[in-house]
Order: sequence, then C-alpha cells, then structure tokens
Amino acid sequence: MKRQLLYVLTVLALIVSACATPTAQPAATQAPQPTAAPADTQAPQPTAAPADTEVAAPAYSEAPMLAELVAAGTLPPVAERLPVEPLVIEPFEEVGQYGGVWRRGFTGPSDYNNYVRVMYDALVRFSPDGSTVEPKIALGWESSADYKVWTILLREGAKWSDGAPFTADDILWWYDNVLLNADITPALPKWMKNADGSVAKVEKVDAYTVRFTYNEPNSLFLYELANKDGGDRTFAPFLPGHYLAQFHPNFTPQADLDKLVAEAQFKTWVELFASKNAPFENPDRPTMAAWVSETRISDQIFTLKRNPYFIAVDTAGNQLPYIDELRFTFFADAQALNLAGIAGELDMQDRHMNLMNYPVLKESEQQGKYHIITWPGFGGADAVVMFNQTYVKDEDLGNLMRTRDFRIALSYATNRSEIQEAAFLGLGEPRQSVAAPWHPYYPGDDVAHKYTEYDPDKANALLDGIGLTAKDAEGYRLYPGTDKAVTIEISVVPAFGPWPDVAQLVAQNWEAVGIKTIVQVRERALHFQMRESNDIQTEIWNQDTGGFPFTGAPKYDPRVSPGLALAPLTRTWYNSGGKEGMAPTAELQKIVDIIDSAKSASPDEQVELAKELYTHWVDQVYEVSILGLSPMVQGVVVVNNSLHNIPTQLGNDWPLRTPGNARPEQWFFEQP
Amino acid sequence: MSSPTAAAPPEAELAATAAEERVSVASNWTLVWWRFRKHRLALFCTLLLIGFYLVVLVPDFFATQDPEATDAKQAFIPAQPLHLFNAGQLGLWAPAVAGKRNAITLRMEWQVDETRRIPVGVFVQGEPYKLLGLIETDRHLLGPASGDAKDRLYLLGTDRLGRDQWSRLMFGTRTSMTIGMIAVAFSIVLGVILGGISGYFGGLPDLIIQRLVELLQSLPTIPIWLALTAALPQDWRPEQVFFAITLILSLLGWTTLAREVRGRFLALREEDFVLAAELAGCSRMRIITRHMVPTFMSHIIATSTLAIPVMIINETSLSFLGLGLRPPAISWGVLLQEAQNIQTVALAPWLLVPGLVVIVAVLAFNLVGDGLRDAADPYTH
Repeated sequence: MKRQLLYVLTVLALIVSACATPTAQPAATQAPQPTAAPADTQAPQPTAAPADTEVAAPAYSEAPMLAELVAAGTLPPVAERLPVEPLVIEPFEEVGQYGGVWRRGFTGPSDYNNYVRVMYDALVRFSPDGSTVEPKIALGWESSADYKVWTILLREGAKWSDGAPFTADDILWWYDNVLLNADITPALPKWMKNADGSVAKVEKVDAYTVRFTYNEPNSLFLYELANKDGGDRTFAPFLPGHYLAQFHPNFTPQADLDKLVAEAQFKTWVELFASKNAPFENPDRPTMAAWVSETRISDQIFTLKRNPYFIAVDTAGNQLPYIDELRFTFFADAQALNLAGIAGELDMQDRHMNLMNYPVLKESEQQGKYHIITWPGFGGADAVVMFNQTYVKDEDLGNLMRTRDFRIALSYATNRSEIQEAAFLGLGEPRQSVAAPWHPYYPGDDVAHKYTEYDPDKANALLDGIGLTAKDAEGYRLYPGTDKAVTIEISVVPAFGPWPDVAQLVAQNWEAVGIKTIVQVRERALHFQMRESNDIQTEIWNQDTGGFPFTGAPKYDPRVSPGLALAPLTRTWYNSGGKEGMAPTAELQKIVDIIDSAKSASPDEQVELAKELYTHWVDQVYEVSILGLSPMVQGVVVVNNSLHNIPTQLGNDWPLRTPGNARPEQWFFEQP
Repeated sequence: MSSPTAAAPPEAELAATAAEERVSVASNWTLVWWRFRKHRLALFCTLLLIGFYLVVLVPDFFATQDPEATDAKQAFIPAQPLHLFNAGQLGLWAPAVAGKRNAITLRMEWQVDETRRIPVGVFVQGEPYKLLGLIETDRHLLGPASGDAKDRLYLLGTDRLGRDQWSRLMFGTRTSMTIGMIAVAFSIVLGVILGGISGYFGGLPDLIIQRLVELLQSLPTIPIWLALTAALPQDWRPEQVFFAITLILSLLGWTTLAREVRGRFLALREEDFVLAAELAGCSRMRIITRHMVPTFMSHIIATSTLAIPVMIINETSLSFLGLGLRPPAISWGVLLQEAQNIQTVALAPWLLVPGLVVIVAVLAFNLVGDGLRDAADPYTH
C-alpha cells in the first residue's frame, strides 16, 4: 500500500515538475473560471488587465483580498506579481477555494521551528513522501556529470514579498556577505566546504543562473539544499540583500550600526543581523514564503498574512496560497495546547500533539469537528538507548559498554513489545534504527529486526560468556573477581515521547538479567551539558535521521554535534585533528569512512553505501533500538473537517520539514 | 443529736467533690486527655491517623503487589470493588476483568468477566518482603486466594504501565507521611531552641531571631521552595532528594513554632510559679526544662500537629510541579504528577485518588490539631 502510494506520489511529482515548464502553462489557463473563488465578487476582472502588458500572459486568478488591493491601485496585477514561469502545484485532492484562517498553536519564542516547518522556504524541497527533491523557489537545476558543478536556475520575474525582484544577486549576497563573513560564519558549514577545508565557489552566470563549484564530486548537493531554509536559526542561501544591507557593516557605517545594536539591546551587530534576518522576529524582513509575518513570535498571537508575490499557482492558475491568514496562538505548555486541539480550536496541528492523547483526541473527534490522521516516522527509531563508547569515569563500566556481546545481551534482554504496548499504544514496530521499509536505503528485514527479539535466556548466556557469572545477594552480576555489582545508568529527558516510561521498562528488563539499572530523569539542558562533558553512561533519545544518513547531522556519525552520546571523546578527537580525546575504534572509523565516501558517490552507489552503513551499525549494536515508525514525533495530526488537500500519508521528518512537505499553500478551507 | 445528720453532705455533693478532687489532683496530661476525648471528631481522626501510620510502618503488608512491577498488557484497568458476599455467604471476592485495545481509538477497554470471580483472602501469601526491614515474610493483608499467580486485585485500578495503584498508594503514603513527620520534627527542634532563646533571654538575641523570623515569613514560600529545590543537584538519588526536600521544608517551616514558643516564654516568665521556683533557688536550666517547657508542651504538640499537613501539602505541591521527588520514588505528589495529563483526567479518573487521600490526611491532621489545641490548656475555660 505504502509502496503504491510512493509510486503515485513520484508520478505526481513528475507531473508537477513537468507543469513547471512553460509548455504546461496554457493548459492551466484553460479552466480558471469554474474554480476561481472570487467568481462571486468583481475580482476576475483585474486578472484580465495584464492582457495589454504582455502578449501571451496567462490569465491568473488571485485571492479576493488581493484583488481589492489591485483594484484600489495599491498592488500590481497578479500577472505582474507572478514570475514568468510560476511554480505550478497539483492540489492533492482538488482545486481549492480562497479564504479562511488557519489556527495553530505554538509554545513561545523558542518554538521558531514551528514557523520554519510550515513555511519550508527553500530553493528546492523534498517531495511529500521524501523520496525526491523538487524545485520550489528555484526553477530547476543542472549538474555536471561528475557532480562537481551545480547550476541553479531561478525564476525570471520572481519577487520578494515586498515586490523587489528575486535574482542571482540574492544568492551572491548571501555568499559574499554572510558565508564569507568571518563574524557571521566563524566555521564553514560542511555542505559548503571542499575536502581541503576551502570554501566551495559560487558564481553568478546571469541574472537567473547561479553556479556552485566544488573540488570533489558532491552528489548530495540537492539534499543539502533542500534543507537550507533558515531552520534552526541558520541563514538560508538566499537573502534579501536590498533590505538586510542596512544591518551589515559592508554597506552601513559601523557607527550607525553600533547605534542600532545598542537601541535593540544586542551585544554585537551579528546578533542584530541574525534577528533582523529572522522573519518570525521581524515582520519587515521580506521573504519568499507563502505567508508573511504581521506580528512577532514573541507575541501572544503570531499572525501571518498571505504573500501577494508568492511564486506558485495551482493547476487552474489560481495564485496560492488559498488560506488568507495563519494565526499561531501561544500556549504556556503543551498540555494546554493539546486541550485546545481536543476542543477543536486548532485547524491543523501536528507539532506538540502528544501521542498518548490519541484515544482522547479520537473520542472527541465529532464534538471538536476535526479528524485525526497519523504520519508515522520516516525510518530510524522513536526511542533508543545509546551506549557511550568513550565513557571513562568508571573504567570497568566503560570497558563493558565497549564490549559488543554486552550490548547484544542487553538488546536481547529488552522486551520491546511490552514497551510498544505500554508507551506507544501498540503503534509502530520494534526495529533497529535503519531507513523505513519503503525507502531505497532499506537494508532488508534481517538487518532491521536483528537482535530485537526478546530472549532473556540468550542475554543471560551472553553475559555469562563475557565473565559476568558471579552474582551478589540481590542477584546482580558482579565484575569478575570483585564484589562490585555492574550498575548502569540511563539518563532520560521528558521530551517528545514517553521516554521516562520507556526507561523504567528497560531498566526492569535489564535488572531481570542481573544488570542493576538506575533511571535518572533529567532536565533537558543538564542532559545536553552532560553529553558534552562525557558524563552520560547511556541515554534515551530518538534516531530521527534514519532516512538521511549522509546529509545534515546524521546521528550515526560520531563527529556530529548535536548528536547523541555515541562517543563524545572520539568526536573531540576528530575535531582536534587527533590531538585530544579518544582515537576512534576501527568500527567507528568505518562509519566515518562510509559517510565520507557517500558524498562523492553516484546515487546508485549511495544506496549501497547506506545499506552497508545500516548493516554495520546494527551489527555493532551501539544502541538498543526499541521501536520506530510510530507517529510519536509530530505525527498525530488534528485536522479541521473543513480543511482539505492534506495528504493522509506523508513522509514525516525534520529534514522533510513536515508539515511543510505536505504543501500547506494548497490546503484550503471549504467556504460556506 | 440532730446536728451531725444535718451536717452530713448529700450524696450528690459528695460525688461532685470527688470529681473536683480528681480534677485537682489529675496531672496536666490527664486533663488534656479528658478534654480531648470530648472532641469526638478529633478522636475519630486520631484513629484514622493511626491507621495511616500503620501503613507508613508496614506498607508492604497493606500492598497487594509490587508497586514497581509493570505489565503493559494490564494498563488502565479501572478500580474493581471488593465484594463481601459470595453466593449469599460471607466471602470476599473481586471481579476478574478482560480487555483489549480498541482498534480505532487505541484505548484499552476493560470489561468485568462475569464468568469468573477472584476469591480474596486475608493474610494471604504473596510477594516476599521484610517486615519493618527485619522479619522476612510474605503475608499480605489482602490478596487473591485462588492460587493462580496471574490473578490480581485492582482495588484502585492500574496506571498506564499496568502498575497497581493501590500498592503504589501505600508506598506513596509512607513517603509523604514520613516527610511530614520528619520535617516537622526538625522544625520543632529549631523552633523550640530559637524561640526559647528569643523568649527567655530577650534583648539582642530576641531582636535578631525575630527579624530573621519576619524575613523568612515575608518570603513568598512557593518561589523560595522552587528556587531551593531547583538548586538541588540533578544527579542526586531519590533518597538524597528525599532528605534534601525534608530539610528544605523544615528550614523554612520553623518560624511559626518559634514565635509560639517565644510568646509562651514571655508569658510564663511573669507567672507566680516561675517566681516561686526562682525564689526556691532553682537553676535557669531547671526552671526551663522542669517548669516552663512541660507547661506549654501540649501547645507545641498541637502546633506541630497543625504543621504536619502543611508540610505534606508542600511536599505534594513540589512533587506535583516536578520539582520535589521524582520517579522512581513514589509519593502522593509523584502519583498526582503522573496523573497530571489529559489522558488520565479523561480516561482514567481513578488515578486521581491520591488527591482524595491527601485531602483526608490533611483534614484529619487539622481536626486532631484543633482538638489538641482546645485541650492543650486545660485550666482555661
């Protein structure tokens, strides 16, 4: 079923990208009449106006609220606002209607990725199922046969939300003034770095063409680019230079800038620049997204209005988005947000909805006039117990955790189906944290389910086999030749999932095979700090990079930060060029080698490398992977019954920017 | 001839005199007891509290199961009442339940299995434990007597992990009631010493201590507790946190008692019997310990009885806010904290029972405290 959907979606994606070519446009112009929402107003008229400007300008429709502005003369006609070749989006179900307010919840200024995920404001983006990359702001791309040179084609006539043209200069502005500015970018991001550490070259070919040149093949370029949308408060590789120049010392005298910095109570101009660049903190900052901020994310209600210059239309030529306004309401805690969801006060909410509230949500569907859909995770695992391979505070325990049989034993000792019932409502599947079965990288069932069966006898045999045979009065195993019981600590943070419950269940399982296990529920910041200082013995987190082992920050890579406590000292070793920390074992080095070779491998080779990586990872059991493919992380979705075009099946992951990959711009409210 | 008969007191008068005689020779404590037992509600509550403290002493005996044992297949079972009569005969039994997950709502749904009854026995064998930490035994007050190890009692239902709520409540009672007691004991020591110094010596010590009391009393309590408990090292074990919380509660809770003691000292200092003792050449120490402290001991007890529920509430609130005790420790606050979610309120209301228990315990302490306070000063009417 899922595989079928994948094919359908791939075909859809092909159609959509085909539609993006100029030849497809006349087709779109054929049928604006029947579906155009403004039919009941006088709106269709203005769309005819541009007829005299261009010879073959297609007849686009626009939202009534924009048509009024056009009629009043405060906004150019829609055909002038859209690029020559707009992005044409095939609606999931049907061509929609304009109007409505999308009510959504957020939990405060630190919840900015809530905005980022909805907007997914990037040059290219992942397809809804996550299998391919498609154009968004960019018109398309070309790569050289050796993947060293990537050419990005932009849309002629595309405009920022303030009406300024969007051209190659906006990408170059980012390259010259942000990426190459040592204050803003003290360390080059991996995706813009050559193997020797030098920066990749970015050149303007013409006003609508930009060329990225690397020294080595970079077959992962598109996957990286599909995540460069300013998420996590980074800088997207296209910036409105015409606006941001006033906050940059290359364009504004330092004295003036200092005054601005002082006024805004920042310490450095970089802080000011970053804040001014964040659309959720600065409504004046022009964007390319479907909606534009009206208020700030620090407000009680964070409001966004449609972007009149948004580059996309539907297949009937209606400019998107359909929905007029987004209203993010502040909730002091996630419980209150969940209650609002149950009461039907949120129109579409996936973020912060708690899996454990599923029964209550489901039972209140009729009252709340909403329905629940679930988007399972995109591979990986929703809870793993990661062993620290470089734990040194207790040498005995450290050595034990570096012993593969010990890790295998604890994997066998873990009763995953019990955890699935108790902590995941029976959803998901017990599995290793590898790619999902429908993903090309899937290494097969043998690997995905290796060591996951519950077999305390095997666990006991393995533990006996590594010399942990003697037991104390309470039945805990002792280190050979000592009277010291093997005691292991699980550090767990009450975030995202029912992890503290998972920890307690795992602890009971492990104690049953004679390993004394202490659960420490910790506050998030403290836990993160302990990761950095190598104080974690084992920790529970999720493996949410299962579909993306080579790009972004894969949690399999011992070098990445933020990552899990896989081997903090080995990360230090890599970062210090081998001067400090702990040298990687051959097994850890193998992971690094695979990931590095994938960067220059062809897509087919990447599939093989990914499978090799997963097989190796599972063989080593660096973590006791509990369960995956459940909708635990932002996969329980409340959808207002009158909201349409939301796919019921979707790739759900942070790199996919869910729900942004469900294309919110083509969601619409059924108008009465 | 006639005068002796006329002079003879009537029976009633004699009895009254005897009663007065008893009153006048009765010790202070006897008088307090006589007065206290007239307060029926306080008396009843005392019995209740004795029951609570029995649980504190031997929670294992009252628990029917291991409070930590999880069973995912038995999550969210509603409370099943204990039945007294089986087929017209006296015989305890509890209904058996059967359930499965609703495929649509994913909710665990449980039905009483009408075909099966679990016989319940008293003083049955079960989970082995050490009585008072000393005597190995496996007897429990209540338990399934069917001999089938799979049978369980659900006196208060189960939580999301299938743990038995009744057994958890027993262990929670131990923690919460103990914290109340220990914290108040610390408070009494601090309060009597500092209040005594303040009241007896007066002058500069009095000034310093009283200003300190005022300072502590002017601090908003909840934020201070939050700050202090947040400052506890996060990697402390549950037992360490337990004692730290107790200490924090008592360090902030001694002020009222110190005021009370000081007031008593000030009042008693001027009493005739103290003067008499002084004239008789008693030492200061003897006057305090032999004459003054016993006089207001009953007050201290009454005040501390009223302080215990405050401590219990404090511990419960802190744990409820996630800043006091944390799982795997079990206390009333922890139980309530675990019930602090939409799921529980909507689908498993029986997990809120610890809240009721807190109310009962706090009310009982307050009523006993009231009774004691009224009885504490038997000479005033």
